[in-house]
Amino acid sequence: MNFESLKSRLQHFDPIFLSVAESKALRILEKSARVACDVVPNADEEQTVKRVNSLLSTAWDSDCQPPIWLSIHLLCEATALDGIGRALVTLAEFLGPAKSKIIIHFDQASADWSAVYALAKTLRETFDRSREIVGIELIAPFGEFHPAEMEVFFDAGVRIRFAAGWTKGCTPDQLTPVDAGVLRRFSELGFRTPIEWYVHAGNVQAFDEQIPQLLIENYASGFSLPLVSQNPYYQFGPGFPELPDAVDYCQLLARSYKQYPYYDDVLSPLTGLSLLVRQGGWHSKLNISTGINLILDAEGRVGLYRQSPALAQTWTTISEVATTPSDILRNRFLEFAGNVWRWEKVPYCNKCSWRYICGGLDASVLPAKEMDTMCGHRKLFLEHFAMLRAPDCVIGQ
Amino acid sequence: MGTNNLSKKTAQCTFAQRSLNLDATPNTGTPITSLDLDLTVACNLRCTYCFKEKWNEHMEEQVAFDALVWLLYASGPFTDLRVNFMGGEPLIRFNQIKRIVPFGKRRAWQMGKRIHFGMTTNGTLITDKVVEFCKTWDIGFHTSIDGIPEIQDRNRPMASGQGSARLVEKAVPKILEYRPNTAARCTVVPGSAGSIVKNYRYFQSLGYTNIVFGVADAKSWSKESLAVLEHQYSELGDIVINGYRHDRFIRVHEIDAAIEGVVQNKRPQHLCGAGRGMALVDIHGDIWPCHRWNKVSEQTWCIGNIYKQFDEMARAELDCSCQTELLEEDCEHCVANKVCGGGCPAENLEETGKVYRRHANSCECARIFARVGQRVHDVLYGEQNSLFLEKFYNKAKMAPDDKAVV
Repeated sequence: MNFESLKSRLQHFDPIFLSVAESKALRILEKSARVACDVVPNADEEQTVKRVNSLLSTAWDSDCQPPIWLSIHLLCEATALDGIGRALVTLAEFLGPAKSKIIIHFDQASADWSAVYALAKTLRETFDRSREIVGIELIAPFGEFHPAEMEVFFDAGVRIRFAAGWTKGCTPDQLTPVDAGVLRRFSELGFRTPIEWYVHAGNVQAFDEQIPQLLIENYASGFSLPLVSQNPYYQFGPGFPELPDAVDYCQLLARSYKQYPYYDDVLSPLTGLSLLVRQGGWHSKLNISTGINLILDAEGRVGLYRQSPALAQTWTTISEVATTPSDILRNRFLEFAGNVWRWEKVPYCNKCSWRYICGGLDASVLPAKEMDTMCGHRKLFLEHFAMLRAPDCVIGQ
Repeated sequence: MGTNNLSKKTAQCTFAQRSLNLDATPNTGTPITSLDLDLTVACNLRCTYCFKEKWNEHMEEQVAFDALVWLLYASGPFTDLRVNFMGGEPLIRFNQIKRIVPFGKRRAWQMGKRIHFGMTTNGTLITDKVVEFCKTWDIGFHTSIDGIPEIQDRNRPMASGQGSARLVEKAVPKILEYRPNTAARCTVVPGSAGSIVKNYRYFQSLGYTNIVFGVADAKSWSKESLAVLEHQYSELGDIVINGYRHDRFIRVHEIDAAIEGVVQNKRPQHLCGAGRGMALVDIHGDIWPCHRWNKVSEQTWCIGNIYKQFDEMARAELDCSCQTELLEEDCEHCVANKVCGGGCPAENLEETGKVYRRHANSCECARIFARVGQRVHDVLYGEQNSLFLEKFYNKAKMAPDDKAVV
């Protein structure tokens, strides 16, 4: 079997070709990771082409589409806006069977928890779907712990992440202090409280130094290592820390992933990437990525983004969401997303073979260095997870 | 002596440096789904046959929290887990229990698992507050109680030397009101063998419907005391038969287990879950096959430490597919063949120096239970007692062709 010839004959599917070292097979991954098949070296080329043709075309057009993971990020200032509860309920359910998560971000150590609790309670009482399908999560550099309120949060199915590394107001060389006592108290109440360490160029070493102790304080709850650009309070520009070098970030993720394998279920961004490879990264019927991020800001705007909230494109407003029927909202969203997510708008991703799995980057005029950091780790780990995946079939055996 | 040795063992690992090692979980073999937790080795009773090495030391709270997290990982893909608080007397650490149970339940829930908590208690520290807490968090009990006040006070005196029966009698109704199926776990030694029937009636009068008679200290039994045991058990068998005839079911563990063996009609494969799905974490974070097994003299059976490592080799002898094949006795023609899995491996170790060799007296006890169980089975089966059939055959009446080979 001449693999080069096979590859050229399958090129029209835009598949991803990977070499399986152990079996010397060629792995063919459908462009959205819906199907993976291995072709062994002694397979017959004609039969292989026929089989793969059938597999890949069926996969893309299948009625069985991968689940959509909808993350609705909310700045804490937006929790006080009129109609926010109604808008969140609508957003969590407007895409139909999507798995939705509402993530409320706090920029300060203390907040009006009673208002947040009231919102969480309203949401929980209003959702038609279970707390496993619609999750609520708080991310904050918590500096205080109120047991009674936090118990109520727990009972409402709220999850907690402890923001660290960088939060709003920190200069590039400042670290967000972690109140170990508060972290411990959250954890002892029973919350699994992963550390959400926002990585930038200046805090990689600090993470390595601090994480062993933080894992003791949070009772082995694990940690996440999102780029600082995933913090909704982050902006690209002066006064904000720079993204880490792409290689440094990849090394940090790889190191942490190997050293702490038991936290892989919370280790963002790797958890999300592994899901994309396992379940598929593109919903071909709706023509959207299966990972969707919305951001609701303090002015009531609703933005759509791929990787960085600072680069979100404003789609609508909270008041409009609150007053628009779901089906109309859904059509408007699909139209909007189809337009802003056209690959031509992101030259960086336009030719990338991983784009239908990865979901791509946001359109921007950022320098290549930043784009490389936001992209490099994704490709690296998508490939890693693609190799870990068991093939759906082996051709030629 | 025990304190010193164990302290020495953990001295190189001071509390401040301890960090839960999630690599210290089973990689191969059976995941751990049931955990005994020694919250303390202190106890307010001084039972004459107690197997624990006692000193006044408690499990640090961090170790208890860490042990629960360890279980969540050591259980692998399994989602239904059990934790049993042991001791010493676990209720000496009720304040700690109040913190670690909510932690364990909630943390498990956040990881898509469930932990059911229980405790083995001597009952003397049960209060309304304890029962209330247990109700809230669905905690089960296993009560260690030796029977009529005379025996209870003699075998299970308070540390001060006073009897404990009065306190236990006060606690039992509170427990049974909350959990009617709570077991009375009665330890039988030669000196109390002649009172089994009396004890049974006493437990019944307290409201127990689930009774376990556990024979202890095999070495101390003589031919005569074993004869007394058989006589008492035989009488107990008659009482059980009579109970079924009057539609009353009281679970007597040894008899029921023997009947189940008869019904299933095949040799059990395992002695118990120790070291396989079950483990104990002691006050230092050391992992042992079960609560019977954390003595200084049994160091080779320590299977790890939640802060250091999990020793697959150390538990390999227990974590095998068929333990009964490894028993040194010739069990093929033993009357207890379908009932006995080889006894408690920790007791075997203590009595014979080997986990797969039973003491001759333990074997004789097993045969006594088997004989009584067989008789109870045969009588009630012959009568087609509907309550009996429902309990053991899960049907009201047996068609002639369905009869088990007995």
